[in-house]
Amino acid sequence: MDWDWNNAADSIPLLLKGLVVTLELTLLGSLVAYVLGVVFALVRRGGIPVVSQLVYLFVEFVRSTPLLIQVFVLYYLLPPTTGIKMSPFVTGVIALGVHYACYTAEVYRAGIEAVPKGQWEAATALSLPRRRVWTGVILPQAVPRVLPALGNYTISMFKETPLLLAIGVVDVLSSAKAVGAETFRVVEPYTIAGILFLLISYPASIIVRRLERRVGQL
Amino acid sequence: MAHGEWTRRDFFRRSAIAGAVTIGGSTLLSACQSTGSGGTDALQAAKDAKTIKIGIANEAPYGFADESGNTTGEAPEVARAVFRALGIDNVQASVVPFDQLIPALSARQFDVVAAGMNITKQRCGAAAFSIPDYSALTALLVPKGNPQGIFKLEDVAAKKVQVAVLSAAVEKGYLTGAGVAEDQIQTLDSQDNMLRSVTDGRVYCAALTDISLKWLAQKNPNAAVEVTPGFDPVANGSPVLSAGGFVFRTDDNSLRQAFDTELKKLHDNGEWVKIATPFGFGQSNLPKPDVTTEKLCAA
Amino acid sequence: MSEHFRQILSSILEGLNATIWAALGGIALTVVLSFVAGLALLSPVRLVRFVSRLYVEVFRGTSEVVQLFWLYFVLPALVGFKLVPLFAGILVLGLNHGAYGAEIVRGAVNSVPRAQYEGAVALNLTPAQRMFRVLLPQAVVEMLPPFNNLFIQLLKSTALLSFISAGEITERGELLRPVFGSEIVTIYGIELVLYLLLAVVITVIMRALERVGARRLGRTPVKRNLRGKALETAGR
Repeated sequence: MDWDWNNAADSIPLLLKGLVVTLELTLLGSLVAYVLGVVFALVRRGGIPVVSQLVYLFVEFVRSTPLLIQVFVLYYLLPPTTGIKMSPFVTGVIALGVHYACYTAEVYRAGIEAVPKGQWEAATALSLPRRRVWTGVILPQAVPRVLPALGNYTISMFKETPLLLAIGVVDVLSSAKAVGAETFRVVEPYTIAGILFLLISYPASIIVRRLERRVGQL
Repeated sequence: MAHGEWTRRDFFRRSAIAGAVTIGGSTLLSACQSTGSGGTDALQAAKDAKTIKIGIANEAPYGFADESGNTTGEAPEVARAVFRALGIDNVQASVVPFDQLIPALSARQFDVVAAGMNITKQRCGAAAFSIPDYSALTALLVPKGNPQGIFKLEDVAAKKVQVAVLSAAVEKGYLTGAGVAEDQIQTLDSQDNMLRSVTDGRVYCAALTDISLKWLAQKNPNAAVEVTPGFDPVANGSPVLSAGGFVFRTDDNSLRQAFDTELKKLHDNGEWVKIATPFGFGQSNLPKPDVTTEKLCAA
Repeated sequence: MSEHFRQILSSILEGLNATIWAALGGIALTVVLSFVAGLALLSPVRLVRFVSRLYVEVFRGTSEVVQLFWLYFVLPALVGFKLVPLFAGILVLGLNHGAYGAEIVRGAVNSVPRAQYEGAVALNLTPAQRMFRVLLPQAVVEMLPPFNNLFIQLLKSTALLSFISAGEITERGELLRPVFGSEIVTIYGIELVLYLLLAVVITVIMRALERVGARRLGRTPVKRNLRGKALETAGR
C-alpha cells in the first residue's frame, strides 16, 4: 500500500482550512435555501396570475438541470451580460441556495398539505384571525414534519459543495487538488478529503434520522 | 392474478438482472483490459498500434482545440512531426486541466504531455522531460491602457493588486518569489478563465507566458486587454532559466529517447521553426544550447 | 451567427453519446446495486446487513465529486491499473446512486402491508418465495416514483464527469468557451435544454413502467402531476 504518513500529516492543515470554507458554504447556502423556499412555496400557493406559473416553471427547470451548469451560468454569464460579478464563494452560496430552494419549496408545500384539512376548518369555525391560524395552528404542526427533510437537504448540499471547485472556490476538494498538484501525490489528500466528508455527514445523518423518528411520533 | 403472470414477470426481471450482470461484468473486464498495466513498452505499443495518445490542456497556442475541434498548437504539431518520423501516424489528444496533466500521465491516460510545460525541479521528481523544446518569456495580461502601470512581477507586489495564475503552472512561484502575497493570487484552472477574470474585473492582471497571452489577446480582439512586454522572471537576484518540453512517465525511457532524437533533428534542421511559426513562435524561442533538461531539473 | 450556432450545437451534441452511455450505465448499475444492497439490508443475517449498511453509509456519506476524483486518480496510483474515464464515471454514478436506491428498495419493501407478509407466512411460502413472489412485486410499484427522481438525479450527476474528461455534454461546452467566448448563452442554453429533454425521457419511461406495474397488480395507476406527486391516493 503506497501511503505516505508524512504527506498525510502535512496536507491536513490545508484540508481543514478548506473544510471551514465548505461548512461556511453549506451554512449560508442552507439559509438562502430555507428562506427562498418559503418565498417560492408561498408564491405558488398564492395563485398570483403570471408570477405563480413562472415560479412553478423556474422551480421545475432548476430541479431538472445540473447544478454545475447553473453555477457556470451565474459565474460566467452574468458578468459579460449584466455586469454583475460575484466572487466564487458568493456565486456558490447563491447557486446552492437557489437550487435547493426549489427542493425546500416542495418540502414546505408537502408539510403544509400534510396538516389535516380538519385543522383548517376548525380554525375557521373558531373565527381565528388569519395570522393566528398560521402561527398558532398550521405552522406548529407543519414545521416539525419538514425539519428532517430540510436536514437531509442540508446534508446533500454539504456533499455537493465540491463541484464549486470548477469556479475556483477553495473548499476541501480544491485544497486536496492543490496539495496533489504541489506534491504530485494524490492518494493522501483525496482519501483524507473523503474521510472528512464522512466524519461530518454520517453523524449529521444520524441526527436527522433521530429527528425523523421523533417527529414521526407526533 | 394468475400464477402464470407472476412467473412471466419474475422471469423478465430475473433475466434482465442476469443480463445486466453479464453485460456489466464483461464491460468491466474489457474496460480494465484496454487500459493495460505497466510492463508493456509504450514506444513499441504505439508503433504497433500506429497511434499515440497525448495530453493537452486546451491552452493556446501550445496545445488546444481549434474551431473545428481539431487538436493543434505548437506542441501537438511538433509531436506529430516527431511521431511521424518514428512511424506513428496517428496522434490522439485528451484534454485535461493543466494541473491534471502529470497526474493523468502517471495514471496512464496518455503517454506524452504535449502542452508546453516548463521543466522544473519539482516536476522532474514526478515525471521525465524531453530535451528543452522552447523558451518563452513571462508576461502579464492587463486591462487596455494598463491604468495601474504594472509591467513586472515586482510591480504586482508593490501595487498590491490581484493577479491570476494557472493552477500548477510556474508563474505562481515566480510571483511569490517576487514578493507577491498569497492572498493577492487567484489560482484558476484554465487559460480562458484567466482571460475572463481580467475582463470581468475579478483580477487586475494574469501571469502566463508572453506567447500564450499574445495569442489570447489576438484571438479576442473585442476584449479590452493588452499584453505587457515579455521579461525573464527574477528569483534571488538572478534571472530564472526557463524552458519547456514534452513530458513522459519516468520508466518510458525508450519512448523518451526516441522522441528526443527526432526532436533534436527538428530543432537543428529548421523544421521546428517552420512548424511553430504559425503559433507565434520564432527563432528566438529555440532553447539556448547550454540550457539542458539536467540543469533545469537540478536548479 | 447561425453558423456559429450550428457549430456549437454539433460540437456539444458530440458529447450526447457519452452522457447517454453514462446515464444508462449508471442507471443499470444503480438498479442492480439497489436491489442487492436493499435486500441485503433486510436480510436476517447480521453480517450481510452490516456489510450492506457499510456500503450504503460510506457512499451516501461522501461527496460524489470526491468519489469521482478518488476513483479516477487515486485508484490507479494504488492498484496500478487505470480506468477509462467514462467507465470510472459509470462506476461512481452506480455506486453512489445505488446506495440511495438501496434505501428506496428497503423502504418500499417495508411499506408493503404487513398482512401480505403474514399471509405469505400462513401459506407456508419459503422466505425466497415470500420476497420474490409476494413482497417485491408490490414493492416495485411503490419504488418507481422515487427511482424516477433518483435517475434524474443521476442524469444531472453525469455533468460531474466533466471533471474527469469523459467527453460528455458539459465538458464539450466548456471546451467551446475559449473558442466561442461571446456566445456563452448559446452554449449553456443548449446544454440546459438537452438535460431537460433527457430528464423528460426518463420520466416518461418511468411513468409507463408504473402504469404497467400497477395494472399487473390490479390497481389503477395513480394520477400524478408533472413532478410525480400523487394527485390522489392509490386506487385498489
